[in-house]
Amino acid sequence: MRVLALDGALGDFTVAVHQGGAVRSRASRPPQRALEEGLSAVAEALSDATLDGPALARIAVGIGPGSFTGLRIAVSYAKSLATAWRVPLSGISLFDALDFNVDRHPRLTVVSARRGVVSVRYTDGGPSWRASGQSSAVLDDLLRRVEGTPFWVVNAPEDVLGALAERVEFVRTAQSPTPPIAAIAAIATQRAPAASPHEVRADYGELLPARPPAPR
Amino acid sequence: MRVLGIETSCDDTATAVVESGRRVLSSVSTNQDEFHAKYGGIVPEVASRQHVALLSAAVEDALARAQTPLESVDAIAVTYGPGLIGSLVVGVASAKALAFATGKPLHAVNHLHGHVFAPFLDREEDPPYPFLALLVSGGHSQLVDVRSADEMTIVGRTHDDAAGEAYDKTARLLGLGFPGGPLLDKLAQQGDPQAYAFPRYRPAPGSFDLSFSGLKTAVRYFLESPEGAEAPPEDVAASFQAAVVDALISRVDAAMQARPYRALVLSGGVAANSALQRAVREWSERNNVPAFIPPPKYCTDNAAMIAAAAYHQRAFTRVDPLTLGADPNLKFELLSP
Repeated sequence: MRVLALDGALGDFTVAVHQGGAVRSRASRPPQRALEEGLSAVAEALSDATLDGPALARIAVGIGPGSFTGLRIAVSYAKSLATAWRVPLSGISLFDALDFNVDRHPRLTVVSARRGVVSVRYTDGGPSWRASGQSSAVLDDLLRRVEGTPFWVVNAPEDVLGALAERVEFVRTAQSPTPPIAAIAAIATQRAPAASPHEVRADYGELLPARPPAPR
Repeated sequence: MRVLGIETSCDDTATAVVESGRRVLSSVSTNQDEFHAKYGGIVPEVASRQHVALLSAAVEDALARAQTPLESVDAIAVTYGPGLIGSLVVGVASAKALAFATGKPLHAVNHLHGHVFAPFLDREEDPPYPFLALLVSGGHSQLVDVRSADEMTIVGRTHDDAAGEAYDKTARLLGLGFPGGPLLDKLAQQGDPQAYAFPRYRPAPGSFDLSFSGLKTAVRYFLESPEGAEAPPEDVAASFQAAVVDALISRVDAAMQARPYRALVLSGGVAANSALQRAVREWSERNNVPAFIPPPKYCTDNAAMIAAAAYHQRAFTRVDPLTLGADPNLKFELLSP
């Protein structure tokens, strides 16, 4: 299956063409240039894979959580491309992409939304628990819930690892062997796409867009 | 020539298909008021999230209503500023990806230029050049000298609040809901516009500039006074509205006397205000200068006006690059990125 994968929420705006279980081409642009140069990355990845858009079987986009602006740009691109080329679109959670082929339980997967703010997902194989907010508050909440159970940490930035080290005796880290953009594409080949590109929604974590005014 | 227009500069997710810059084949606008109402005003992050969720469906809806498949569109026009950056980004990214995928030309449009072309929509006759445009909205209040489709100069502007902003803030002082402008207009229709003499800003001779912050403050002090506490809200609303309309019409009058124009155009969200429309029509009859006022659906932010502006300003002679960015502070005079 020929898949065009896009992600803008994890840092660089990254595009890959995935076929036959492997990445055939890949291109990226700095996050601050995602709007201006993101489509040139798409063109480059398609050209390097000698593919035209309509020949794709699937478009896959990382739906977050992560950087708000990068997420918006990638999802907007993906929806328009899928609509124009009439190619099915899959929205892939970035927790799933970062966790891809990580066989450790229980584990905490961490995405940095912006400086000091994280979105996390904790799973012990059963229902998962998610939270977003200031990393210190999120970690305090998590540690109350797990009550001393040791867990693996996936994709934690240095500041989160440091904050964890201050709170628990030791921190065990794990990493997916697959880069996130390749994981987004690979997961898309295993799942049914959205019934319509319009149904794909961005996931901003539990971060509210604004605080409602206090009642007077 | 059919242009697909996309407008996401603020909180309206709008798309349209317009033929030859005039005939509106479809115009779709998903208003987000209910999402912003609980915050008492527009929240940029809420607006942006809604655009991401709604825009692609709005594009498909506009094409379906126009019975125009994407392949049959001749160009794609998008607002690239001024506006809320998080909102603009969604429209620009979506429009560029459509242009990239289809090979259709992309046209970047200044949102305010879009308002100038709203009176060209769905009518037999275009406003004749040169005309004077009064653009009044929640973010802008200005008088524009329009010599031709791509030669426009601001000749008067507000020093502080836009007219629509003054409406919203005054509506809040009166305890009205959101959006305040239309609610205040409705309340004012039951009141006496001469009940209270609120101040009118008078600029220096030769200037056509405006100011509404003094008026808004005067209303606030009045409402905090013993007399204001007893004042019927409809009279306060009507008197406030009379002061705004007086200021706008007096500036139009002065600009028209300074330089001859063949028409007056009224546009922007506040152009839907009933008192302002009545005053503009009366001025037009008194002075024998035709007034062009778009129907309410084209006064507020819409994508048909963006498609029309692209058609009239570019006439398909210039195409914007797919490296287009969004400019929240885009200057009025700038025609293209």
